[in-house]
Amino acid sequence: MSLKHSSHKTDQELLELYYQSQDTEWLGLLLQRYTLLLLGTCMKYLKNETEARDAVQHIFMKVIAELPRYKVDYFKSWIYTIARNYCLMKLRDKNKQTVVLNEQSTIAESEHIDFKELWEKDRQLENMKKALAELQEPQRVCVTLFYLQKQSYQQITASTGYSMLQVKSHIQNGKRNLKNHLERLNPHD
Amino acid sequence: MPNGIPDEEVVLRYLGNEIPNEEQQAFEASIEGDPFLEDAVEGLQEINQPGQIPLLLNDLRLNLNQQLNKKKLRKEKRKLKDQPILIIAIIMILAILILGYFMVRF
Repeated sequence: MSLKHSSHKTDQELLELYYQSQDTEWLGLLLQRYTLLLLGTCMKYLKNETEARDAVQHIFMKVIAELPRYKVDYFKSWIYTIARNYCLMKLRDKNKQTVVLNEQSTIAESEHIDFKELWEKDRQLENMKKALAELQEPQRVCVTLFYLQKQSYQQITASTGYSMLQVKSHIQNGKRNLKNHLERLNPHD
Repeated sequence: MPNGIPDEEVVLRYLGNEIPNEEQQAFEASIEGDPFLEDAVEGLQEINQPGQIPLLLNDLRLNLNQQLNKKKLRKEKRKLKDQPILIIAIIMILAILILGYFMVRF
């Protein structure tokens, strides 16, 4: 079965087929599905194409060796943890602990934010406006352009003069501050 | 996004700046808040020649298949080893054939 033909199957279904039959074909399909994401993740941490490629192969081998031993329920989270830990271990080996800590704190921040619901509630619009007004100028501009005017990172970079990293950071921090302001304005929600 | 993973072609087109602005924004919004996807896209943007990514993926997938085939073969060999009755039967058939040959010949 090719990658395209297996796309209708969920990760959970492929995992179950693998656990039932122990046929590595199912595991292969799962890993092929995640190859691009693994390559990108390894590239983000290791900053080197050759190292990232090697890392993906090591992660494949690790998964092939470890998956039969554990009952994994959420493959996506599990493989992400494996990939991140592997890259962090590689970085530690290179004594790049400062970088590791920065990356971890960024991940921790992004993991705690879930804003979708808040945007969908009409009755919170007024509070949202108030909260937006309380943001620092760069955060307010970036959040407004990204969420309300539906501009891409690149467009925001071009129109504000901020770098791509600054734009992402302003959006992320703005989002977190907005959440805090809204929680203060809607203490019962 | 089936399985919570964006379509590979969409990601590659995004990386190559080949999608319109509104789709770009929709894509960015769809990965927002998912640390795996955010990390992956950020990392992929650091690859010097995004056009080479499909080749890299092909290489990786080819190696993966080789690894998995090796594992499968090892498993099958082990299975064969674990079947002494089959092995004994094969040896007995061979022995009968050899014996039969000598009986006919001499």
